Amino acid sequence: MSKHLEGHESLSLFGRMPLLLKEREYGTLGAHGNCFAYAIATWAFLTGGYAAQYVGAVQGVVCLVAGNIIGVLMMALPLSLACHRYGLEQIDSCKPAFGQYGARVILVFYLFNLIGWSGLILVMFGNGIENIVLALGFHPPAWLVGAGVAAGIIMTYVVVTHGVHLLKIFNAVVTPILAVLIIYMFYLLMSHYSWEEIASAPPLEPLDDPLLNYAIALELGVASGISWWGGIGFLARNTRTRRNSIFPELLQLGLVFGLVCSIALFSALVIGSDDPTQWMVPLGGVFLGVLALGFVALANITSTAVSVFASGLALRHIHALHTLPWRGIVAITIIPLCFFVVWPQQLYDWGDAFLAYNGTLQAPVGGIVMVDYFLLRRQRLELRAIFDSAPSGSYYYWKGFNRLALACVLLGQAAYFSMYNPSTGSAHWLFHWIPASIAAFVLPGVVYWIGMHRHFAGTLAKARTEFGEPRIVTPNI
Amino acid sequence: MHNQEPQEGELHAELELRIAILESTDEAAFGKFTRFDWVLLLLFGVVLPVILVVVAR
Repeated sequence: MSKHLEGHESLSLFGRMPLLLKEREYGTLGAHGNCFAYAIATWAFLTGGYAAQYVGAVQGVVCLVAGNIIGVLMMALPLSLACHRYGLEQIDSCKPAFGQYGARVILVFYLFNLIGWSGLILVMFGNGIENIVLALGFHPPAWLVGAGVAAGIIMTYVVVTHGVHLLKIFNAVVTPILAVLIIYMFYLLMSHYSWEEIASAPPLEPLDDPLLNYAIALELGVASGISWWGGIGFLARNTRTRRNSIFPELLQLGLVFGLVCSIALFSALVIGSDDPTQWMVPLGGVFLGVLALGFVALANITSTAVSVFASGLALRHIHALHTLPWRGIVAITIIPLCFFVVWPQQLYDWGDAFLAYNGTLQAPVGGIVMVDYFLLRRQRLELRAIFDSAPSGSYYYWKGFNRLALACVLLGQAAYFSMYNPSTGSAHWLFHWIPASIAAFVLPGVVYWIGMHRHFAGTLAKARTEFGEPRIVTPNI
Repeated sequence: MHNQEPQEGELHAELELRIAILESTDEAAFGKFTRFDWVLLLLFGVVLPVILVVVAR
């Protein structure tokens, strides 16, 4: 690399500049470790516990593992390969589909999603600390969860401001311990309850219709996989090879996450609690229980760090923040998280509605990006056009917006709610056969594909064979 | 981290340089992704999970 480039490394590592291969941190082990550390957090146990309300152990494992893998693949395939090949930040990779300014509409939801998630995870971290105090026989004060959130914010700030390298080192320490801990949890559960007991345990609060119970559990699995959308581009962008950009995500965010959810599913079915912080101490003893709780709590910090890092990079899309020092960007990212220090439980209680709404948005975006990257662009993006805001740019569309793609997102959301309304629980008969997330992924994708062929057939054919402007006219870096 | 904010012209030059490097990088440098990888991906990411979902229904 030239001296000129070396001086600007921070603009790619801590900004939107395309990341060059030699700047990327994750080899095979790093990619798996970071995906694992990102995947394992308290929400895995909450997801498993939620599934236990509707289905038993066997159906639950299938819904959580298979559903999650399908969801991850739907979202990761185009994002991972594009962000890896071109070193792109995730929102930049959406520009070919949504347009220069249309991608900013997605950016708003993206930031809302990542920051909201980070806040919820930090509350889980605070709850974890509270449970440790309880396990040690003390009465935790009311402010402890908020203080835990504050401590989590400080830890996240330290990790994220020191960059991907420190995140990798942090995860290299946490990941193996966490892996051993997960295996120990599973062992502990299986040594106290036989598989027959677990498999025959009835669901906790099933609906009258067994097919609908199964459909809801499957939707939960697929939606969990889809919810990784926020961190997928960030993880893939930092990998060195194509295989490492996609397989670790599929294995760790898909398979391993599904299996960890299953531990909570089993414990919820036979013990009546999905929260390992409640059953680890009685089953494993105070020392091992508290150690386990500590690392489960710490795992929330690694997940938050990935989310905050991705949010910071996305904030670089705002012109005034293009060159702000990284510490400043991270500070801006964590300002909204401070509300979780003051009102942790109140905001946490809105989590269900927040997650349900996110699911309806991410699936259509994923379907559109999938069609755009594989079917319309044939995996070939015009890098200059991504960073060019001039109306002559290939990804400018109408005043910077691809109205078709944005309309398809709304269509996908409408499709989701017509199939299944998570707030009211009302379900269309089709939902018994097709998860709402998959419908909200496929329908907008198909409509987008047809619409783009009708309106932009010539432009698309030209884009596959030749690049547009030889130089960027109006750079937006 | 950089100590000094780069000028816009510098940023644009840097961007052009990076794009040129990424575009001229040989595909092999990004690692192999063969048909076998696609088969593996579709088998474990779609086919097997769908079969499991149908069977467990």
